Amino acid sequence: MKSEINLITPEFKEASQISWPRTVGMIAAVVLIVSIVGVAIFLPSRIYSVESDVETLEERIEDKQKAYREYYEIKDKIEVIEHRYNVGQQLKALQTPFSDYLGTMKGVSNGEVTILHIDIDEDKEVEIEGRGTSLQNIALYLRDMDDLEFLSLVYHSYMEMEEEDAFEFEATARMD
Amino acid sequence: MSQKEIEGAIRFEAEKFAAAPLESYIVDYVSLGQKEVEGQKANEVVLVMVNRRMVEDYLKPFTYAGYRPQVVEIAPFPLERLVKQMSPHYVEQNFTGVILNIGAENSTLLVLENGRYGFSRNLNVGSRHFWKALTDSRGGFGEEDEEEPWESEYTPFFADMKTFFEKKEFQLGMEYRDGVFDPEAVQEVALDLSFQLRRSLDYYLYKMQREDVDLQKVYLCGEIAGIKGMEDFLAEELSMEVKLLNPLYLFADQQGEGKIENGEILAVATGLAYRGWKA
Repeated sequence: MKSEINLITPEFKEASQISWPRTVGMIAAVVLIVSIVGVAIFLPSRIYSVESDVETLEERIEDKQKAYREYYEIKDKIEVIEHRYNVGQQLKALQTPFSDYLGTMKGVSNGEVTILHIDIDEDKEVEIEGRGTSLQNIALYLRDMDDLEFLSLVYHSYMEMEEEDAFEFEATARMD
Repeated sequence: MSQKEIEGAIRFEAEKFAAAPLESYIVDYVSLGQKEVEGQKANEVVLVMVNRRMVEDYLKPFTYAGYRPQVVEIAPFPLERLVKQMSPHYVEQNFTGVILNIGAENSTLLVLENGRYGFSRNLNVGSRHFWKALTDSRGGFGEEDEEEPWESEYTPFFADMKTFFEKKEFQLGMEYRDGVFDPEAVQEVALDLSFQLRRSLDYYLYKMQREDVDLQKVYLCGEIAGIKGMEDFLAEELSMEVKLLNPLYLFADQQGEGKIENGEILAVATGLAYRGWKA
């Protein structure tokens, strides 16, 4: 049941409703202006504060660097050594260590055959020059060479008698 | 009838009373509940129509001052609300009787039936008519009192009234200080007020067929309601009990301590302020 009247005009009622956004707009504008003024006042002082902090920190870093200079020098040296070691390791990886193979190949000769020269090229082609007391010893040597695990296709390319009881030979093999 | 149906009917009825297009009025209504008329139940409503321009003119001073009024009412409703708030300690519970608020230009007569709106009417007598009668007949008052001269009938009303209340020099229908005023002039206006009151009450009782309503008491409020002698004068003229309705008596205790005088001036304003409060 309607118990009260309100004779306010509809236009006035609507205007009152519009006035709220207007009021809110005014408040927003005031807040914005205050914010701008606040930023204008406080931002330079804040920047100055941050700059002075940065300077202080830089000075501290310098002090620390001075205090730990020896440590840094050792660290640099370690780094250089590590670098060199790494380079050495990389170079080693590129080259095949042939010394063991050469020892083995020489050991096969068993005194009857003298190895004069062994050459291994980049393609792992092995050229062997040697001298034996007999052709049989040379042949046995080459057969023993062929039995080695790391050698294959051993064949002689040259064999000649130099003097009595002295034969020179050249052989070629391939390292696997 | 649903509220929507009532609103449609109100608009239809309002068009009958409108002298101009209905759009030039602000129309509203109050439901008084159901009533039996010729054996049938009917919704009783109070239709209120106010010229739109008049409302706009009232609103202008407030908007110019930067305020946005939320409610516009006519005086009877705030007075009804005030009586409800003052019941039962200061006004009888479910009061049936008359409230008379003397305004500046005119006065509001409100008849309450069991505490609810029954009838209201504007009377063409206000405090201004009293002051005009006084100033017209003041004789040499202005010349005698140089400190507070009565410059003209346009002297600010409240300043005049303050002077009166402070000096307590005016008693309606009685002797005046040094015979400065002509008592007949004021009495004429007071008689006019009582005459209009009687006529309106007769209209209510007989034309509106409310002979069964027993009107025994008048609560008096408004701008010059507190003038000494006004209660007695109206009581004698209307043959009814007349009592001041001072809303600020609410601040007084049971023994009347702390009561604020002249609060009857604020009756309508207090009633407006009570809008939205539960009685």
